[in-house]
Amino acid sequence: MPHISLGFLLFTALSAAVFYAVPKRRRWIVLLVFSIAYYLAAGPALILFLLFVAATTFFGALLAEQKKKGAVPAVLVLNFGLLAILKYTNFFISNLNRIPGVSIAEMRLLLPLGISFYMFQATGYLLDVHWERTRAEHGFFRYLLFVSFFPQILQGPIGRFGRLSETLYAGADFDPDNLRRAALRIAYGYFKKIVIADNAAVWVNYIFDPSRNTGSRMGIAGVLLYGVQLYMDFSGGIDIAAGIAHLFGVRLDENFRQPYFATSITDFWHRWHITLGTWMKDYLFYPLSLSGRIGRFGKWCRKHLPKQAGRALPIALCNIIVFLAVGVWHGAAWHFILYGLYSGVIIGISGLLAPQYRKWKSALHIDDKSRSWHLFQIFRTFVLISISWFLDRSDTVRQALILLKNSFAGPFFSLGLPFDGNVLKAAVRFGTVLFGCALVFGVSLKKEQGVPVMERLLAKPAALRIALLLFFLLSYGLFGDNTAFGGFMYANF
Amino acid sequence: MRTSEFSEAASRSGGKQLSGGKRLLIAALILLLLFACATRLLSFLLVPPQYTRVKVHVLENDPPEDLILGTSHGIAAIDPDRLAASTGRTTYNAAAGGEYPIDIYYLAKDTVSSGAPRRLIVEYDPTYWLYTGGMNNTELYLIRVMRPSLTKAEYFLSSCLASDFRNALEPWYLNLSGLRSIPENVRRKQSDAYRNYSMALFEDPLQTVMENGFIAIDDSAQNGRDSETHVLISEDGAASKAYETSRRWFLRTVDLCRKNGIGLVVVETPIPSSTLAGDRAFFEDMNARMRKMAEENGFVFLDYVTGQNAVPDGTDIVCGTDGDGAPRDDGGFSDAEGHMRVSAARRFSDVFGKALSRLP
Amino acid sequence: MDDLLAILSDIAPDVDFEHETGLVDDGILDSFAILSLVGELEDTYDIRITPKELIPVNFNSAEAIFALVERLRNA
Repeated sequence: MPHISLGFLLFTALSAAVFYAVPKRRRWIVLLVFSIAYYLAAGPALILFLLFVAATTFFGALLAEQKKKGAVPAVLVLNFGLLAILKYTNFFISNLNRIPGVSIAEMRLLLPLGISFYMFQATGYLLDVHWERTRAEHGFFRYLLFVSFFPQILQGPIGRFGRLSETLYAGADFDPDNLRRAALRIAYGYFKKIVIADNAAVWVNYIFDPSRNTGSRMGIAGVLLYGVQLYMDFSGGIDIAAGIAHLFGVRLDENFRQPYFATSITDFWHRWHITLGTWMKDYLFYPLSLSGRIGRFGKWCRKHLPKQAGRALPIALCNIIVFLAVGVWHGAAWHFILYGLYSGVIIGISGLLAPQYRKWKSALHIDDKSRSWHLFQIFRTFVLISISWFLDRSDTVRQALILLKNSFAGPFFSLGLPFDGNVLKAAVRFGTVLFGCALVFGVSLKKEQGVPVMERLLAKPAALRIALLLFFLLSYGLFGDNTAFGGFMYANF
Repeated sequence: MRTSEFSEAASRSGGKQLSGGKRLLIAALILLLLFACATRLLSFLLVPPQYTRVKVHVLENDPPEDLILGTSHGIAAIDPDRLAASTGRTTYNAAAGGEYPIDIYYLAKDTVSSGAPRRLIVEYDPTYWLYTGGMNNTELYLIRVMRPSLTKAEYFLSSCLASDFRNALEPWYLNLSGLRSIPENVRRKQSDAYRNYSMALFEDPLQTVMENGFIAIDDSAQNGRDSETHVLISEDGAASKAYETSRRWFLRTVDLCRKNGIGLVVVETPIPSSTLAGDRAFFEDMNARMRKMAEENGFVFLDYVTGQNAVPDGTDIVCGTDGDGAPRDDGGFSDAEGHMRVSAARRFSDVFGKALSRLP
Repeated sequence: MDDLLAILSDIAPDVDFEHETGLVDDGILDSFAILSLVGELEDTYDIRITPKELIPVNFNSAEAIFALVERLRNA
């Protein structure tokens, strides 16, 4: 049931209606039933994976609570092993096939809907129980709801049991404000997706088409538009998920915090796909950094290397490993791996050179509290991130490098968008993307300045909200792209 | 003290102030009403009238004995009057561009509720069965112009539930390139021809939509559409899936005919010989499958393209071979894809009509 | 405690460790800084910090860090 289908809208409306019709204590059961139904609609066989992940982590957590050794590693191996097989088998095969003489057939493996998200959420829970950060859930069906909750199963956010369970099982009382929040957030999310992302995608798909040799500076336009498309598509989808959760009084963790206002790559990853970043930090980065082997390496570094290098090197190494994981999480391809490493290496270097940066800044008399420095940092980060989009969006490393090279080598006047001759259509599409970005920028700026935009909207007269919602509703038809039937980009993870 | 207590109590009991829930409900209703009006208005302004509206009206009010459904090939190739001359039955051509198996099924079902025809003639274009896209203008329009009924509800749910919500809620979104034609749309929708369901509304210098549903493409018309070659469905997963979906809908039409005692004839109208030459494997494969379906389900299949016919034993029909009288030279078509020009279409309809009259 | 403050100031010179109580929650120390700190603490006080102890409440202020160190030393 694609999010953009009529069926999904009706499904969601029905789930809300049934939710509030049922007594408070049973409301979580309604959520579970609808979540399972949603998943079954995607393909009956796929639910076996969901149940496998839920069951193994559920029992693993119970065993971990009783301090049974070996339970946690076993469950982790089972789950991540499964994910690795499903996601990466063909990657390994295709690389092996590059060895002359080797020819293995690639397997037909399906990737169960949302597995990259719910598996991370489930294993995070297991580790939280293991490290005594949260109690184990003793009710299997209550736990199953945590794993399968339908608004977030498609593309996250990746939740934490401690926080999510506060509102997931509460069976919220009917609060009109929740419904208002839901409507506004959902409409805003669809606006970002249908009006902005889908329109930008038309050009992005053209520019990055592997059958086309884009030998001009179009690559620059391509990554800028891709940066727009990716953000609008993904954050729009998250808005829809969070909005739907609002219908039931459930709070999901934020996944985006005005990422393009970031002042460094590190800061960017604290603002972009936040829950993946925090998952990696809490369940991979810290444990890895604190592990015996790295600990010993760290001791060696601190003993034998100059102070900053000694401190920073082991951390930088772990960080690179983590970003390798982030890259790999995105997909089984070399360009994704490089995409992750790119950020990892930049962060690692800046960690190693932190005192140097401080010295250069004071030598150049740069006041790092000044507004102009802040703007420079934003601009610098934006450029660095845009370069990384070459690696994310291209189909191969080769294509990424060619596009990147052409962006700086091609004739200057070729910086532009592909054009099929229809001036009006191109102008309208461009204007739409621009206007959409301006609107979202305005909202983001306010949020960056700490203004609680949603709460302010709720305090305004109803007529304003009605007008806003009407605008959004009509914008889907008037300004949305009507040439393709697109799903969400992160739905294939 | 007393006054403020009183007003506090008044607001609590909902005296002058409505409760939060009620206020939300009213706001939601206002929003829905405004949206409904806006979308209705935009439909009126942006969506041009289509001939399918007239055809649905005919089917619902004056169903023929022989009903023709099918694609844009069928609408251009089959002149009902020429068929009627041989068969002696009232005949109507309700084919349309963009009419897919699902649409054919629901149009047939809609007709049955007004009065089942004696015979259903389905024009078969195999390339239509490979379509993997979403809803199109024709389908959206058909659903809207159908009169309210269970069939319409079923049609709506079958096609709109799984597709983009704009199809159901904002169908005008596919008609945005016609902004300049808004005054034209309004004028046409207020004209007598529109109110009287007359095909005169659809004047075009190069083709005439006849009142019997046939579109007479002028002999000089040149659409310039190239032919394509198609993959065999056994070699393409997406095409194979699309084929299965189309087949399911088609078989429902077969079922409908069986349950209502309607004779079923599937006909594949000729295509330019140069087009066939470039795509022969595909047509041979698809038509073989259709013949098998015809034999298994007991309906007639007349294949004017590759001659793989399924007719009752003992029937003497020459069809699909040189000498059957059907036009195949490129000059008989307005494009490489296979839309027949009027002279060739009338010749073909004579041939087809005679074949029909030979069926039991 | 003074040793600890010295270590902290070395890792993040611009922070007022005597008064800050939201070192993690307010994002004043990022993960690099925290891990640098952990490395130094493990070396200096000969303790072992595991993921279980790596929670915000243990690192939000100099006092909290000191308490953690003491606890691990005496364990």
